[in-house]
Amino acid sequence: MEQIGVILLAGLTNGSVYGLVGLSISLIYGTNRVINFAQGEFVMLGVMSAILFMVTCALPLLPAIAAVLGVVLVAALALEFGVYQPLLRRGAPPLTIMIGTLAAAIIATGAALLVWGPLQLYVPNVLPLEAMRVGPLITNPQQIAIIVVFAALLALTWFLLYRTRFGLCIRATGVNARVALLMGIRSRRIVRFGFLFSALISGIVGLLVGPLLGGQVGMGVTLTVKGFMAAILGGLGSPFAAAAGGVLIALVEALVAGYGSSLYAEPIIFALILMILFFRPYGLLGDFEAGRH
Amino acid sequence: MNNPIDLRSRAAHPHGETRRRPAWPFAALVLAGAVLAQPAWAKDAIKVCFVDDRSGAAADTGIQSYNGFQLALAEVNAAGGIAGHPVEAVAYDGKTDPQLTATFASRCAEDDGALAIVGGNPAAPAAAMIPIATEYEIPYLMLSAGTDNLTDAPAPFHFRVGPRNSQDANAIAGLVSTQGFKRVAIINNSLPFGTDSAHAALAALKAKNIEVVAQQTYDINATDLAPQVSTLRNAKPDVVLVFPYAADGARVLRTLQQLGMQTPRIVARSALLSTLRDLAGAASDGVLIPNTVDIHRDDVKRLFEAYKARFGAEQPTMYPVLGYDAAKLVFKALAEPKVLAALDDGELAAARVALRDAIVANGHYAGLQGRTGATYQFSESQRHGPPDDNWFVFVQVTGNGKQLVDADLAAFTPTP
Repeated sequence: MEQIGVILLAGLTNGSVYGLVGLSISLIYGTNRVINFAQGEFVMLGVMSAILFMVTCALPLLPAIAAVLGVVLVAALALEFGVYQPLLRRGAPPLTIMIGTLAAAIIATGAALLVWGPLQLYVPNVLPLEAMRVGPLITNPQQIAIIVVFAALLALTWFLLYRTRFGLCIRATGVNARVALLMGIRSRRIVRFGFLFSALISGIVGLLVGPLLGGQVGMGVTLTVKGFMAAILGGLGSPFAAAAGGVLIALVEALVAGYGSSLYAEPIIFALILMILFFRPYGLLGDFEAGRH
Repeated sequence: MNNPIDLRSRAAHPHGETRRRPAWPFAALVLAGAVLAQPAWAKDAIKVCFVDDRSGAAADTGIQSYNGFQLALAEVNAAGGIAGHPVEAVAYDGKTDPQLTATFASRCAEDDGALAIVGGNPAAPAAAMIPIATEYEIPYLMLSAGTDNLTDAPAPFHFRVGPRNSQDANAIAGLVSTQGFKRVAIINNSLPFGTDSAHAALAALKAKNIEVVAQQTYDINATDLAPQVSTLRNAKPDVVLVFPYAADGARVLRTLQQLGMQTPRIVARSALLSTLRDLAGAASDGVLIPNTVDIHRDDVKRLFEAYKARFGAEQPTMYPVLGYDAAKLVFKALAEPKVLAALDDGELAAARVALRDAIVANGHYAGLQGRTGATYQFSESQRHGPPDDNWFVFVQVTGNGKQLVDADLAAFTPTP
C-alpha cells in the first residue's frame, strides 16, 4: 500500500512539471496555432537566472524571484518580437514559425552558455529539501510545492479562460483569429499575452525544479519534449488536456519504474501515445481541437 | 583617449608642456621583447589534437582532462619541446555530439596535420572517433569512456587510457566482498554509462557469489526518484551501488537520505565530479567512490599543485590525470627516432604510423594513474591500458560533499 502511495506521489510530482510545460505549450498554441519549441528554454532561463540572482547577486528571495520572472518575460517578448512577429508579417506558415522558435531555442542555449558556462550548477532551494511525512508517505516541501503550484496555476488558467471577458477573447482568438479580429478583439495582444503567460508559468517551473534537477544550459530540450508529449497525449487545443497528459505520462513512468524498470518506460509511453492517437487522433481530451477540424 | 590629430595639435601649441615623442620606438622595443621572450624554435611545431566535450552534458570531464593535457604541454615546451619541435595543441569542443566529434577528428587528421588525437570522456562521441582514427591512420588516445566493448576488438590506431566499466565493477565487487556485504542493491540511470556499468557490476558480483536483491533503472530527467528508491529500500540491502551521471546521481543520494536509507553507498566514478557532490551536499557524505588516482603519491600531489596554480583548486580525481597521462604518452612516443625522422622528412603518414608503433613499444608506461609501481599495459593486441590490479583507490566524500579523503574502510561495513 505504501509502495503504491510513493509511486502515485512521485507520478504526481513529475506529472506536475510535465503538465505545466505542456500547459504552457498549449496556451501559446491556443492563441496562434504555433507550437513553441523554445518553451523548455523559458524553464532553463528561470533556473539559470535563479542562480544569477540568488547566488551570484545574492538578492533577497522576493526580489530575486521577481527578477527571475522579469527575465523570462523579457525573453518571451524577445521571442514574440524577434521571431514570431517578423515571420508572421512575411506570411510564414505555422510550420515555419515553429522552426523559428526552434532556432530561437538553440540561440538561447548558446547565449546562456556564454553567461553561465557548460557545467551543471547548484540551484538554491526556495523551500526546504528535508524529508517530511504526509500520512504514510515521505516527501519534501519543494516537491509538495510543485504539486500545489501546479494545481494553483491550473485553477488560475481556468478562471482566466472561463470566468473573465479577457478569457473569452483568448478562446475566440483560438477558434479563429481573423474572425475574432473582425469582432473587435485585438488578437495580436492576445497572442502576446499567450507568450507572456506561458513564459511566466515556465519561469515558475524553473524556480521549482531547479533545486531538484540542478541547472544546465542544455536542460530545456528534454523539458520541451516531455511537455510536447504531454500536450499531444492530452490534446493540444486545451491547456487542461495538456496538463492531464503530463500527469498521465508521469504516472505511467512511475508505475513502470516502481513495478518494472525505467529502462522500458519511454518505449511503453510512446506505444501508449501511439495507441491512443490511433483511436483519438486529437489526443485523449482533444474534442475541442477535433471539432475545429 | 587622444587620437593622433589631437597629439599633433597639442605639440604645436605654444603653451604645450612637452613635445610628445613618437610611439614607434617603444612599440618596436615591446615587440622585440616579446619575440625574444619566446623560445627560439628551430623546427616546425608538432600538432596534437584534443577533441572532447567541453560545453555539453559531460563538460566537467572534458574541461578537467584538457587542463591536465595543457599542463603536460606546458612542461614539454618548457623543457625545449621534442628535439627542437614545439608542441602545439589544437582543441575542439565536441559538445557530446558524436557526429560533430567525428567531424572534428577528421579535421584534425586531414586539415590540421595533427600527429595524434587525445580525448573522449563520454562514450558515444569517443566511439565515433575510432573509425576516423582507423581511416586516417592517426593514433587516438581515448580517455575515460568506459564502455567495455570499445577495445574488445583492437582497432590499429586506438588506445584507451582510462579504466573500462567492468574494471570499476570488479573493483567495487572486490570491495563489497572484502567488507563483508551480502545483499547488494543497484540503481543506475538509463544512459549507456548507467546500464553498461550496472550490467558489469551484476556480472562481477555474480562471480563473487554476492546476491543482488534489487536493481532499478531511472530516467535522468525525473524530478522524483522515490518509486525506484523505495523498491530498493523494500529489498533491505546492506549496501547500495549507484551508477549515475552527475545531476541525477545527486537526486538519487538525496532520495536515499529522504527515505531514511542509512545503508552504506558506493557511487561510480561520476561522483568524483564536484557537480554531483555540490548538488547532493550532505547527502553525499560517507559515499565511497572508485578513483584511479592515489592521492598519497608525491608526483600526483605535484600535478594537482600545478593544476591549482594554473586553473584553480580541484579534488584529485582521474579526469585531469587522464589528460595529463595521455599527453605524456604521446610526447614520449614522439621523441622516438623513427617518429622524428619521419617528421624531418615531412612524411606525416609515416610519422603517425611510427608514433602508433612507439606507443605500443612504450606500452608499460608509468603514469600518474594507479598505485605506485602500476603501469599501463598497451601491446599490439591490447589497446586497453589500465591493468586490473593495483589501479583503483577508493576515496570517501566528506565535508558536505566538498572533499574527497581516504576511505575509512574499517567503518564501511554492513550495519548490524
